[in-house]
Amino acid sequence: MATIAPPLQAGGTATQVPKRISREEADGLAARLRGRDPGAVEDLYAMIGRRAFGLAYRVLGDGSAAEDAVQEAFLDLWRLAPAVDRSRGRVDSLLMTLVHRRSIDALRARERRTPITGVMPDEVLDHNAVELFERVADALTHERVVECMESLPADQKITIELAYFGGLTHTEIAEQTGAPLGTVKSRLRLGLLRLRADFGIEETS
Amino acid sequence: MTCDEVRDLTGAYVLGSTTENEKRQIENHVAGCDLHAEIASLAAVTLGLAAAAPEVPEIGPRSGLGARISAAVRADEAASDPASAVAPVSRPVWSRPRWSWASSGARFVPLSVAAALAVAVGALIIWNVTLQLNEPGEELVHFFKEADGDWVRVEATLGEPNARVSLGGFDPLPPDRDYQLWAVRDDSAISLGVFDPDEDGKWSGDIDFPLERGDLIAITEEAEGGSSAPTTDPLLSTRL
Ligand SMILES: [Zn+2]
Repeated sequence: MATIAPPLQAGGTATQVPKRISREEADGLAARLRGRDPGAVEDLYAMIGRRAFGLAYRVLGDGSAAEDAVQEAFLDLWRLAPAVDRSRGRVDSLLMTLVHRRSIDALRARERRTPITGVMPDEVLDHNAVELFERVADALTHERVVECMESLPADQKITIELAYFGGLTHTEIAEQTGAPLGTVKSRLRLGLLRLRADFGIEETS
Repeated sequence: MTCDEVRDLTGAYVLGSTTENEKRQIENHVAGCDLHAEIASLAAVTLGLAAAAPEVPEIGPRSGLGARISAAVRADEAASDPASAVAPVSRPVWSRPRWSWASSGARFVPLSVAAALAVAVGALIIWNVTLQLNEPGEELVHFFKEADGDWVRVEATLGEPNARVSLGGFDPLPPDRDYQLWAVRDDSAISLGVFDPDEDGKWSGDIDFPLERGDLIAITEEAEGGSSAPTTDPLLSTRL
């Protein structure tokens, strides 16, 4: 059967869902990274490179730019390596956070929009956030996260997507959707609060 | 900022969607306020959002990316520790050819049912938003969902031959039938290709056709392999 756009370059078997990395594997990779073993980066790429590319491509919609963002994120991880320990969460989650950050940076640079220094707030790498996430991370498969997103009210979902995948500020979202700024802020907050409940993340201080 | 003002911004803050000034004020405020707990928990939510991107994107990185990353990491290691470098520390120049977008050779074909397509199912719209970024090479994000749950999302740079199309809500078809995606402009329809939704009823991919504002996007059910012009009423149609 024909498809609308043939895969440009298959980087793996398209139908095979990658195995999730176990906690032990993640810890092992982190230990090797701290020991500055470049092979750990290569092994991590083999395990989640395609998924990392998927995230960058979702943000950038351009294969070359997505590859660049993925490469920069792996280099970021490599430079962070001495500090990669449990307090920063699993190495695969950390890499995906770095891929997202690099992708949004590239997107904003490409569109000549106001750059945001440190696109993701530092809080993202904060112990508390990472710890809360780690408790539920194993259950948050792609299917589960998509299911939770789809169950949001449509306006909340698209507002969150514009912020997370589109890298837009609240003001830009308001301009482009025609919604009042206050509405945009509350859609972001209420949508995330609902996802928090669906993801099973607790609010603890 | 008051507590209420900070509370309004917690979602935007963890998504990196505040201004720098707001970000600083929020960080100063929550140092002494219980809202830091809400922020940490919402930041944890954003860590889960990465998983919303496809685990197996329908296009993957080129096979050389792993080697490129490996070389970059090893070059970085050598550059940061010249004493241990056995190879020259100058950075290799990586070749980064652009992705090639093969032409599909698609052509508009005359379409007698274009008018029918254009008026179909309008009453079923539950909501429909088009976002326009007023930047050079106008970008368009168009989302359309029908009451029965079928939806389509189009992200395109208008006039440029690449657009991202995502679809959902489509039931599996028997093997001798396919869904076909069309762009209708004036009185002509062009086939953008056929697709097979996954078990969740979704499909997404790239089309190499330069969409324009005003084009109608439509989906019909056709015989396996698709038709040269639509032969059935559209299951979904929406104008960009
Ligand atoms: Zn307060």
